[in-house]
Amino acid sequence: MEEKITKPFSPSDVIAALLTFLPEEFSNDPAKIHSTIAQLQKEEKYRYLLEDFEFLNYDPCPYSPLLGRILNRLQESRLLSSINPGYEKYVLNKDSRKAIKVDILDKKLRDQKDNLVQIASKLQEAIR
Amino acid sequence: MVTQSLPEDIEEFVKPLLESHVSRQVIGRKVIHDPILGSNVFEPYEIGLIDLPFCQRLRRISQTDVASLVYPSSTHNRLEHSIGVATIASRIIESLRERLTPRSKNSVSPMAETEVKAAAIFHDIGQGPFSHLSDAILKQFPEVIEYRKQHPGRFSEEKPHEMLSHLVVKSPIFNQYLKDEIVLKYKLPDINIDRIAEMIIAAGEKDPLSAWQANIINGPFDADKLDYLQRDAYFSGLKIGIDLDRFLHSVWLDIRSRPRQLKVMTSGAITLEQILFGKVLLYNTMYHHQKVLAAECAVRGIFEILEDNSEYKICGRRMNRAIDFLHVSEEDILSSDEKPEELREYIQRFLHRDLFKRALVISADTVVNPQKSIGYKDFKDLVDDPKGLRDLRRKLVEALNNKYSIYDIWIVLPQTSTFSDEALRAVIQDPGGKPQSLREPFRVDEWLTAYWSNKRKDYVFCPAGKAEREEVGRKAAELLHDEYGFSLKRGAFEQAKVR
Repeated sequence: MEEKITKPFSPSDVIAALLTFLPEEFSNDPAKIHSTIAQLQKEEKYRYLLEDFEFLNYDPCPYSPLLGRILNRLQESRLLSSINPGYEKYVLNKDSRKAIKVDILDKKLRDQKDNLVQIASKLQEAIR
Repeated sequence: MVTQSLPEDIEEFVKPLLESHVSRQVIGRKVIHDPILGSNVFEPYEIGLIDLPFCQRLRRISQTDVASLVYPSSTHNRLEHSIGVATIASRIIESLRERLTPRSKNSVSPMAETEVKAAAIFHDIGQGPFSHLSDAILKQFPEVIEYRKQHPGRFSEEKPHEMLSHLVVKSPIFNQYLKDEIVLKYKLPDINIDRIAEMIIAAGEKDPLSAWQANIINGPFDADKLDYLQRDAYFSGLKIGIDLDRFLHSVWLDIRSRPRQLKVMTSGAITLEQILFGKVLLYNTMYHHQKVLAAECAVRGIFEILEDNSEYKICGRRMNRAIDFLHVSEEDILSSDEKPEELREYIQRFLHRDLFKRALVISADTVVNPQKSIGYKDFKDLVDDPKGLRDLRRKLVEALNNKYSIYDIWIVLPQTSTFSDEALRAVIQDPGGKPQSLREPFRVDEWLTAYWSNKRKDYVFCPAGKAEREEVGRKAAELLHDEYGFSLKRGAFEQAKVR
């Protein structure tokens, strides 16, 4: 609990920052997104970034209600959107990408950039 | 500091209730009449379970917390809902049996049926007063957080009542009582009480042969949803439909899959979509109706006053442990007897429906260029940070020169609903065909999220009065700009309809 308070970033900051290292459009497959984050969370070097996500042991894959809510909240706040009419891909447009880079990545997560790039790369591989 | 573990607290709750309960042998089946599900036969043991004090307590817990202040006929309670879940669970079991071959009929055994019905009856016994309002408080209690951490992957952070229901059923004294007074008395098959407890929680039963039982109680298209969506819509007067008969004609048990799973034939996929549509419509029109949210603030205020004043109690309880919420009823909270003046004032206002009014409406439509700044996202993150949200309210009170109490000023961010977990877990498959999740043919979850994102609103509420509302709205907008860096359009004030 104490650790949570002292962190300079929130779980939604981590997810938003991760998305900036993905292509402008990327697949919105929740099974792969949740499974990948659940898997990477177990690795020591990513724990600091990902430990706030609690995963339920669901079938067919682990599911984090917090991660689900954050992905929806990023859409509610218009930073992220789904492409109509198929809704198969998320889009992080240039304005949002720039805002996240300036206000989250550079200010709150600068020292975690390498880890974020690695997580994003593994996520991209999973959802490709 | 945690002094006693949650299971120990639960044991203390269960023991006196069972000791004072006079168990009577129920003779013969009974019929329970229901406005939605018609007349249904219940076995003697089911009536024995419903008669337990843990279930009777649910008569005094509103199914839709304070929604009856806006939808006057929405006064149904958690017991009616629990009986409805047991009825639908029973119908699902019948449907599964119809679709099994004579050789595989044993897969849905009388033992499995009894366990499922018991889990249906017990699934909400951990609910506190005002249902979801209690959940929002319970999830912050140290003993609840501690227990969840000790059991990773099993309990949803959002629904602590599931954990409490599970622990009541799992408690040794309750377990023994069920064996002695229900299983033996009614000559039931050799049921597994631990499995009943597992079915109640989000990620419970993992035995591959019995996981399907948990699907009926806590799955993507479970009896719980099939009941509450119909019941809450019916009693509130909203025309939201679920074609239960069609669902029952299409649900089947795949005994070849591991784990054994409930699946729905392609002809019934529409009913799964109805469940998701029903959920989003009910949230939009009822659970997150601005007036319902304002009414909830009145109750939250009562809980906050209790939290801030350690000498205040309800029925001798501090209301600072999860167990207190199982001992206390809604009537106990709303009665003015022997309560301090400060509490009585807020209780009276609630009882007289003297509700807070909108001062500001915050949504993607009323924020200037939300996609160009992270401020609006940071503000929305407060939904998962109750302490941060309260700090923001305190700052607003200060900006208003402390003219108001913090219990009169509310910034409300309704919780975000998600649809992808259900759409992902719901399996559509014809016998012998290829399985696919509900979201595979079309991303119905993302489509609903887009709909939801356009409908969702956050609010600032304050006491009635044109001048007061205008001032609070103006100061709140300034505060949001100062703290989060986003500006609001004129619509944020206009949608508050200050007159």
